[in-house]
Amino acid sequence: MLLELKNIKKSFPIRHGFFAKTHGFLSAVDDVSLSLAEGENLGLVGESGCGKTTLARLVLRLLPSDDGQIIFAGRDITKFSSSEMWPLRKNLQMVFQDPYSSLDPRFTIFEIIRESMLFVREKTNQQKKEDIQALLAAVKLPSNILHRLPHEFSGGERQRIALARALSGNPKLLILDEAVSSLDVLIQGQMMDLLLELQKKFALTYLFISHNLRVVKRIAARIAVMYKGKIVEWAPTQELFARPLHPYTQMLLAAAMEYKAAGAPQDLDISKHPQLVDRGNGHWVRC
Amino acid sequence: MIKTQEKSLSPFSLALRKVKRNRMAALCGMTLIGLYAAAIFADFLSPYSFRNEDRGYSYCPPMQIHLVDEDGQWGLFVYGYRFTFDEFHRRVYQVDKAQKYPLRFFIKGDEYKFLGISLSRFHLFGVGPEGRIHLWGADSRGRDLFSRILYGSRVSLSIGLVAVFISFSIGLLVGGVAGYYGGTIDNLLMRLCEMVMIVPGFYLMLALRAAFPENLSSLQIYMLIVVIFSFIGWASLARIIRGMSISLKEREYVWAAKALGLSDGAIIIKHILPHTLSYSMIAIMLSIPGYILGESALSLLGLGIQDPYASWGNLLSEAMGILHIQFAPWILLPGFFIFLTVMCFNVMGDALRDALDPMFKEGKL
Amino acid sequence: MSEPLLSIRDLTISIQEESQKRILLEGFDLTVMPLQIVALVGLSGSGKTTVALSVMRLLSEAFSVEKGKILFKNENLLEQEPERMRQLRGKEIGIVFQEPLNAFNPVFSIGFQIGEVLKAHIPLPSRAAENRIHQLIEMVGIREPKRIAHSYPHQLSGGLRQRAMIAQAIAAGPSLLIADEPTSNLDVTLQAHIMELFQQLKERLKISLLLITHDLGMVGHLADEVGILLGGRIVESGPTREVLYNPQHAFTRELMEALGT
Repeated sequence: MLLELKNIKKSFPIRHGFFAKTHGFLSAVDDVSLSLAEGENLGLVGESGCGKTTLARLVLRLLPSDDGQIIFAGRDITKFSSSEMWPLRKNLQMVFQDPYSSLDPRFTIFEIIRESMLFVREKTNQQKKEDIQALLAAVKLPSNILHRLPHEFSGGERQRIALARALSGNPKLLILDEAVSSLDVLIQGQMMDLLLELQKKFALTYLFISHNLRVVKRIAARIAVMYKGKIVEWAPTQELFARPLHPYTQMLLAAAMEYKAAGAPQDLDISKHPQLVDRGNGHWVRC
Repeated sequence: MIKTQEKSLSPFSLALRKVKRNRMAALCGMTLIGLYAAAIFADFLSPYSFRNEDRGYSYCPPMQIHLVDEDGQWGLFVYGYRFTFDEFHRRVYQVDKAQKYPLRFFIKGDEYKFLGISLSRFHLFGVGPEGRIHLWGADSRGRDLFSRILYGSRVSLSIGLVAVFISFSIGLLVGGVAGYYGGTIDNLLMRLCEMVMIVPGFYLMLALRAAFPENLSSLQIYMLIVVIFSFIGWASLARIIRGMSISLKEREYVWAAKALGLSDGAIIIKHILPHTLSYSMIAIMLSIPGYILGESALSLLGLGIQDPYASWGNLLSEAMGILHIQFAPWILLPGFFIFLTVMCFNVMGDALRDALDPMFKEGKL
Repeated sequence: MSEPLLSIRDLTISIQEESQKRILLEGFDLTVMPLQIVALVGLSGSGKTTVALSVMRLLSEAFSVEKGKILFKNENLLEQEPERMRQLRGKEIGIVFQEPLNAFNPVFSIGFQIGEVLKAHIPLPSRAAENRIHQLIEMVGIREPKRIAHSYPHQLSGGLRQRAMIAQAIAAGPSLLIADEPTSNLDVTLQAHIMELFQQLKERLKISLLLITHDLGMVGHLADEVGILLGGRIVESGPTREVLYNPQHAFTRELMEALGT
């Protein structure tokens, strides 16, 4: 297992009023357990606000979790301090959602990717430059763009730059948080092709987060469906598409594949079913 | 589409370009450059040292430079003055065409240290030791106002820059750290800011000055003023930078930097504070006038730069009597320069703000 | 055989960029009949938004219309005076943008902003106006219209905001609604709801919709006619069924392939 999440919990306080009194807690991630084997991409699907981005940040240890365990490559990183996380960071990287704000607009492309090369201090600037050019070639961008600024590039190009940045340390696990959601459909397709190619070339594993099952289908071996901080269904891709059991999954499927609107999401009440039940074929549902 | 242009322009340089196109701002910019250059080369440009006095020329009116004299002879020169006393025992000057002093360039005059390094005696222009030249008149002790204004510009123009540099550095750091960390640190720092801001600036300035002995050397007074200004000036910037920092720390590139393992300090300095520059630069430009006026006020009240050293403020203290203004209006000239400088900084600050306005929307340009 | 509601003929628009002139649209043709949903498909930067803005005459001065006509109910919009355009905007033609957070003023409530459109075109006494605003909010599928009317844009979720923007666009009863990438920022589930809403509005209010998007899938499920925009001109157009199931142009085929399944 490359990554294992056991009963992860994270809530945020809700503050209102003049003195910012804490009125209650919003459970962003509520008892989530997942596992990811090397080479086996996991798709995490859910709508905005279901907690998937929070989960990504928890895995990356950018946020501390309230409870539960995060085990990466056999090591329990749940309570790792920033200095303990430091050597692991190059193995665990992320490409963020918004290509327009994930690259610092004041940095040149060279500076952006070089920043990720903190892990290899021993190399000279010239060596780093060559490495960066190799990375850019890998993501199919020309190498003469080093002195350019992010705003000169389109969304798809920026995502590829972000990808090059994430790949610089040769990560084992790459989290893609809605990385293609803001791109045109055609460009999305190109990015997905690129991701699959890079996976083979660099032996990567992806945790692919999205709200669109249609996109996830192309890349994930298994899919977990998240709703209001909980995993409601979890199955191998083919199985999920053939037999979607949870009403929420069915809704997502109808919307993504047939553009059909089915019921309002707030009508779903999942508190009645606290456990995921095995339905065979590696298919688990909270139902 | 990857553009084929050679050099890529950062949003900031694009803004600077816009400012250059604004004629008024360009003019003001040149004026400021001229004033600062004059300050640097004050010793060379002025005919006399700031101390050089001649009671015989007390309150001498400004002299005109003539090209042709009565006999039709060409050459730059000034006429001397002779004076009589009126009923108030005041001097009344009349142009004395008998005293003719030719203007000479690169003349040897009072000694000074050029740029603080090498001794020199050369001045751009002057008249020989037989006469005196007062382009803008003289003060009560017969000291050349033109020279004194030039020397005074050194203090008045530089004090703003030094103080602003220190107070803004403090403000940026405090604001950046407070916004980034939030919680108790933020609370503490902001309450500290508020405590500093509560006290009215001018009175705080007077109180701080009064806490120090009256007779300090000129340099010590200068440093003291800088320290006082820095002490009261950082707080308002800190609060604004803190606000910006709070929203900036949620930007995705900050999360990306965290994911790369950058330390908090590196993130604040490399990714957060540079994005507050557009605001800070404008704030700096618009607050320098405040410091210039502050120094003028202090010196005017006798608490700042002392005689014989010149600053525009203490030059104006001579002008405080209404009779002086009535009979020797050229005494007010330093005031004009204060006005000019302040106005130029304000215009440039406005132009910079206008140019950077659309740039405030980061990302999609 | 009825008259076209909107007829764009041979539209050519260029933009002055630094020292060069770039052609955005060239010989662009598009027709929208009454009670029809027409989709304009193209990639980002292909000029689709320029089409929307040019119909509303909202292009900045950097753009210049080199030639062409934009006929709305037989009136050439390119030749109209600013006052006439003001009357048309909102009252005859409504527009919905991609990012409602930018389109709404953050310091005024939703109800107030919808009310502004009413005030400009259909002055009503305040009671009636308030009722009408609540009606509009309900019409776009938002429950608790009163609460939403008093809310501010940042208090609503993305989906609700987009619906509110649609409410504002239809407030004065236009006959044509232009939607520029209305669901690109929304989740698929919300996208599906908005698509359903457009269908409902077309039938209830008898309006036409010019839908600008990059997603052919959406087009297939919503539009009657489609035009494919590439390099500033329409490279393929026709009834949706035809174009999607029998794509002639290479670009259309590429777009179909990108849909996957």
